[in-house]
Amino acid sequence: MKRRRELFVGFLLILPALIVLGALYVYPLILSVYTSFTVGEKYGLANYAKAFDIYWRDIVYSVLISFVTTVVTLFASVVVSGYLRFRNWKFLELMYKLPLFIPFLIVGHAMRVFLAPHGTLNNLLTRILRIEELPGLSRSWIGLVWAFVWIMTPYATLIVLGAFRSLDSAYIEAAQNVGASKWKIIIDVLIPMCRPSIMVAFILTFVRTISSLTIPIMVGPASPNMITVNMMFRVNYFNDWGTANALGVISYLIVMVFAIYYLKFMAAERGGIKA
Amino acid sequence: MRRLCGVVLLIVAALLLAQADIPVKVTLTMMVAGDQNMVDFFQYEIAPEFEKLYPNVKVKVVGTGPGDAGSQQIIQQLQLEKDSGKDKWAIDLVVIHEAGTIWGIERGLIRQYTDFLTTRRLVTMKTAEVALGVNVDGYVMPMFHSQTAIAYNPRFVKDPPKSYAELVEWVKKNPKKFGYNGIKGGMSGVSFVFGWVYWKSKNPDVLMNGPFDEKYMEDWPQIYAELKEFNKYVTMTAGNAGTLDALNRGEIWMGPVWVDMFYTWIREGRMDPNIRLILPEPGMPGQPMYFAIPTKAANADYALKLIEFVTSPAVHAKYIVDKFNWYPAIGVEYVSPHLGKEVFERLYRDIKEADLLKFGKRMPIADYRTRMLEAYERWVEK
Amino acid sequence: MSVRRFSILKLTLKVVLVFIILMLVVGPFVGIAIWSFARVWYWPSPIPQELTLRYWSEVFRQGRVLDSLILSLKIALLTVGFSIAIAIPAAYAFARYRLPAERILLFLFLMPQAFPQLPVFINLARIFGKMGLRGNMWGIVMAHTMASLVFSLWIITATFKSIPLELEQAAQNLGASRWRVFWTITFPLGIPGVIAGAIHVFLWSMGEFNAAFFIGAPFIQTAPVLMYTASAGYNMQIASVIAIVLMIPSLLFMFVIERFLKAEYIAGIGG
Repeated sequence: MKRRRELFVGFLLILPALIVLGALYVYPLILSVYTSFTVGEKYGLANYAKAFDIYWRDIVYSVLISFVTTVVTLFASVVVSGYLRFRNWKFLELMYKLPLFIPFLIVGHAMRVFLAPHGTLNNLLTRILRIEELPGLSRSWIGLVWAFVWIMTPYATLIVLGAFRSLDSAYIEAAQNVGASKWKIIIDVLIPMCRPSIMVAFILTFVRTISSLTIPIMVGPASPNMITVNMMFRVNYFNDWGTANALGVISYLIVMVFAIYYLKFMAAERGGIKA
Repeated sequence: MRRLCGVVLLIVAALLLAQADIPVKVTLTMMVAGDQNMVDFFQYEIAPEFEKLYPNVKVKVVGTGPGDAGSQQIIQQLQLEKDSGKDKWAIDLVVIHEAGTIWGIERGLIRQYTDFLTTRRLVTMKTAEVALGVNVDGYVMPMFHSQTAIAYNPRFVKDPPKSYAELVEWVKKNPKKFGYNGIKGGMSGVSFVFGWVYWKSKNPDVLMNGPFDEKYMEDWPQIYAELKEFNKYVTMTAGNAGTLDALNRGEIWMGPVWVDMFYTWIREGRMDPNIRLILPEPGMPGQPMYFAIPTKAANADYALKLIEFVTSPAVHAKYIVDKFNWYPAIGVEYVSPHLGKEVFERLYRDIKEADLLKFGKRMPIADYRTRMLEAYERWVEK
Repeated sequence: MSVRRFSILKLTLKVVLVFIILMLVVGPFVGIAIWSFARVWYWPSPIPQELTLRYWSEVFRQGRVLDSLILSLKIALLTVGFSIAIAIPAAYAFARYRLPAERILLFLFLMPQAFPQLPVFINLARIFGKMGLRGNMWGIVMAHTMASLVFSLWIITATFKSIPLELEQAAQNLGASRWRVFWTITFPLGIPGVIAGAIHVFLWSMGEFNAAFFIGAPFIQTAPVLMYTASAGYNMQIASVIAIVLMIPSLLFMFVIERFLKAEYIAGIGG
């Protein structure tokens, strides 16, 4: 009886939060799925046919960009974490955290200035290297990946370094005693033992990249586009909500594959919250 | 009793009269398509002047962005107002492209009003009657006329190509140094594409004036294939402003721009003042921007007053022509008394009036226009 | 001798490395910092031909830039208020009431940040459009409150969970009501978490673009939306000035809340 009362009170306490989430998140989410199947007054798959017809290349492109970004990000964060695991370097510690909270949009704008053909980077490099012209990276896929990696690496590092540091030093010492180099320790000991955390970093980086609108719109090439940009175009240029939502649902499905893994993984790890 | 009644009536009458002298506070909401210079024009130049003239009015300017997307936003908003079934719509005045005007008329979102406009008879251009081959007489008052042209940097381009044909040769020698924005992010790229089709087509006049018939589109696949080949040698910029910025930063040496934006950027210091303009043979299209009033605008009376204000010769000369470098919407003979000689010299420095008459083309009629844009998406971008 | 040469080599290497890291991490901001002072800057000059403070003065002068910053600040503060007010009771329930399916419920709140949010905001804008909440500040506040709940809720839940149960039980044994225990013991001990949560929500809301753009624009423009329009129109100076202003709180607060950082919920920052 007491337990039931307790549950009731607890439920009442989380009710406002649930109402907000239900009305402002779950309802539009369901609406987006519903709209993607409606054409005029009828139901059907026409929106999906159109989305695949016009944008199949962009869908593949989005997945590829996200994948490349994720791989590069993980590599960079493992290097930084590996270094910081063995050596204390305040400067690097500060540098990797610096971009953590900077809004994506601002990163987009800064990168567009930085990576332009005659932008800050090329201005500097052409003078150091004494070359006449360097190709611009903004508005190309390289610039896009560059901007993504720049903003994603700090928090991937945060996860990976956290895992590296919480690992018992005994393992590392044992490896050092057999004469393993630091690189070898990172590859043979740290990475395998911290695989779960690296997996989390992988999934979160991938999901954030593929759902970002602002960075591709600011630094990405005119074509092909990420699907988020196409969603915006569909709504703003053509007032075409059906196709926009079909693209939305496609992005859900891509992410879902990873989300399911994440959920399973989190369940195994005893929840996302640790005191 | 009767006297009391009389007194009361008198007081009421006096109050009403007094009331008539104190006009009600009004917020005039206008939606403006186009680049930032359009919004700045209304927000920082026209609104303060107009509010001085009518102290009870507050002008609120909402910019919706360049190109068809900007017009689309306006139409969407008006459609929302219409669907809501309200008697008074929140939008009082819109400034919109030709294509947007046609959508607005088709859906019954804008009204006929120019009969009440005294400045309407000062308009000498045909654009007040026909937009993209559709009759828009009565629905619109042009705000200005603008023209696209090719800007080039004389530092790198000593002898600029004078025609599309020469341009094709030029880009092959200078790959990636010509830039335009495709068909998204503004009309300067669109104009360049239309100019290309006019150049290659056997019937450019039909495309501009009608009639619409698919048989005039037979040569299009070849035309667009050649454009696709041309695109291999060019840089894709990010919109009207993107082309201007790339020119200023020396990233491209040539590109199509709106003449008005080009001069405004020079005035603001955002554009290298050495850069010049040329209108290549056989010409590129220009377009007007239109004032239109939504069907159930709450403050249509003040909207009309604002249109009168902007199109009255003195204001038109000072702001539209002198400050913002647009070509006037009303006849040149009405604005010239208010302008110094140097203004005209600046406006017609690179592109002479004769060039403008010869090479300043019209946009294609609506049916061809849509198909030209779709053809670009289908055959060039893919 | 050879030892010294080695250390000189090492020092040079380190200097080069520091330079490269600086260029990669800080470099992007050098460009926008220069632009924010430029009046005339055309190729091939490596620095602006003319400098001006005009664009910076717009931050302090009545006009578009100041208006957008004030609007963003208002929205962020209101969002913080709502988000915290809703999160505190919920966090307490999650920490103390042994709710069923606790993990799944908590995960639900992460969804707006860890799942494509753009389609949701687009559809929310459409719903708001029908209700007359488009182009309205409150529409943005509602969207922001929903999407930022995860930061406040997760951080405060974790903080409450870290407070030893014995403290509360001791007070309860002395006859204090649960309500009283919460206000005299749990809440005061949880204040650092509440503040950290509030800062997270604030930073996120200040930099948020997607919801603010689809719900607010073109009628009202928050600072990020104005920055986007300025940047899209290559109005480099205005865009750069706003970008720098928006970056300041992000950098300042990073040092304050660094110890509360947890990857899952920073994931949403910036998005």
